[in-house]
Amino acid sequence: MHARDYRDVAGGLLLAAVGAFAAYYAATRYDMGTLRQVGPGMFPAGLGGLLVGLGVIVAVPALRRLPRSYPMVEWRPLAAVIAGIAAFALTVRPLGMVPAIILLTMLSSLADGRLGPVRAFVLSIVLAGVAILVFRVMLGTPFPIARWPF
Amino acid sequence: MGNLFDNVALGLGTALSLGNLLYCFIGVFLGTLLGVLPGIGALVAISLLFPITFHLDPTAALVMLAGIFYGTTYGGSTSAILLNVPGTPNSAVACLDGYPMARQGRAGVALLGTTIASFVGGSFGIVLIMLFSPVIAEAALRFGPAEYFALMLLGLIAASTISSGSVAKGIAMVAVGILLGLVRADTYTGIPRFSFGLLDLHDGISLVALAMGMFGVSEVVSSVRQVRSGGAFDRRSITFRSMIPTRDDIRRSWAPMARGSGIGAFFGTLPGTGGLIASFMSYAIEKRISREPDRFGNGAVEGVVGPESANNAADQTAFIPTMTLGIPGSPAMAIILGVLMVHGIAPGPTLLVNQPSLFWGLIMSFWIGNVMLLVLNIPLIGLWIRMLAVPYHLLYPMILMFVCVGVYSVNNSSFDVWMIVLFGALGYFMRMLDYPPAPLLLGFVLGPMMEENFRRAMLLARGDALTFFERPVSGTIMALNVVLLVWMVWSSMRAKRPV
Repeated sequence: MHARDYRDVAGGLLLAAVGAFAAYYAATRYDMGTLRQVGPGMFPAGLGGLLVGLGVIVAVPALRRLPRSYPMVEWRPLAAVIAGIAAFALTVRPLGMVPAIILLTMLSSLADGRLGPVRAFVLSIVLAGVAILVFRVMLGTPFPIARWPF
Repeated sequence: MGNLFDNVALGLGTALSLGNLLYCFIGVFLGTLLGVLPGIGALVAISLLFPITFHLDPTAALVMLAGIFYGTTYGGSTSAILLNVPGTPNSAVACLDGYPMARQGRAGVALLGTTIASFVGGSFGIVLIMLFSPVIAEAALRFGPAEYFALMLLGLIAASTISSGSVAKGIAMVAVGILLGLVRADTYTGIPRFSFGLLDLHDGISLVALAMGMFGVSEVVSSVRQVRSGGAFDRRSITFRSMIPTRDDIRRSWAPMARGSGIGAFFGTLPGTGGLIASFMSYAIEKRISREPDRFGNGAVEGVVGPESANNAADQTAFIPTMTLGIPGSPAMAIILGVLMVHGIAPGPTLLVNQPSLFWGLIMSFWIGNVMLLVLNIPLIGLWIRMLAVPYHLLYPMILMFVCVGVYSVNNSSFDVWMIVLFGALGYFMRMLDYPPAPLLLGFVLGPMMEENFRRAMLLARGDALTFFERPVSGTIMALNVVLLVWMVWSSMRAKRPV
């Protein structure tokens, strides 16, 4: 078994799958119309077809090619940053801005772990202050600073 | 459209209003600041500040965002010279000779040189905008939907093939971008497309969330372990006295600056090229025509000022196609266009006629901004140098805070924040798999307009798809598209390394 450029194979197949889905979805759900009266389905269906072709063009040559050197996926920063933003999205409405920013900062500071929990907490308080100053005071966006959900 | 003097007067009247002066200053100040910091390029800087522009009037919003855009280029060379780390990807060339100059104790001269060169290049670009925008817009007023479709296609093909590695991947990203752009209620029938029953998607995917996730968040994730700021250099060595160039420096600098401005102005107007390619081109040309090519790489002032003026000229002329045709050549310009659309202003040649004070006010603000940058970068250089000492682990939580609060504040919608999660992860994996994010953003912005022009052109031509090739202007552009595509495919086949 030879090593292959699996990342390009996977990426190309993924592209083709997205394209096939878009084309199928558009063709079955939306009116294609005529060339004269182009309907809402024609453009996305065409794009989906194009993507299938491009996905194949990316994937097939990669089957017969040695893997190139790709950058390593850094799981820890990715997980920490995504978790931080997701926590923000979950809490900003029920709990308000300050708790959401504290969660965002504490979780995302785990990405490199160079900031201990205490310093991360201090930073999060500072950032919450900056956010309130910039967005609430200077720009006048109405959002609750903190609220009790129960 | 009035003559140039009326327009200049109108523009100055707008740009010199207290509010616009303030936003111009905020823009160039933040631009320089974010440009100096490694790991934050023009695009991240613009998308960070994009949500704030929702709260401003459109002229102030554009003036500020444009200031951030060209301000980052001024700031980007500072860290390139002092730390050998480009503050923005576009200032990578400044490392080649700027850092050696700093090693020789001539950092002051290099910093002054890049600032002056930035100003010269920027000024040349602005003059070109003032002269050519009205002419191009007037010609474009006669364009029909077929011409626009062809032009947008040209923009997308060029942007997706020239700068990225693989032609197929670049075009695929454009197609994905267009599909994402089509997620919204169809203009003709009102049917919500690809909304999967989610009410939040009826108005489309938020451009802010997409740009911030794709560029801001994925940039942070890949920089956390990489960027190490706070390098070692003697801060006190940068004094005013150290900035004074020698007679020899001046003699060597003026011609490269002039050539760089021309090269940059040309590449800035083309889709998909911009400052990075322009600055590398300028460097290559200066080295080629130099009588002492050995000096390059060892601290040649020509190699610093030429590319720097090219970079800044390109920044300015990039506004020509964006503002006159409504066709952005780079993701940063796509965001500028997005600001217009968010404020309900139709981009395109009618902009000059319908919104003259916005257009000329913006152009005149470029002058003011560039003068401000000159002041910011020479007497205040010490401030920016101090900023370089801020470590990235304090910086990136702040970036993330601005991303989240910024996106949330636009519509008070936590759905948009979830979109950042989605596009942040997508953008990061695209990076890992070597798929360029820039064409996706361009496709996202241009996609809906492209479809609309396609449908209108087909309606006008009674279903005859040959209309795109038969009309003289659109036919010429379509021929260019075909040539460009064939050439790009051919050159990528030739470039394939034997495995």
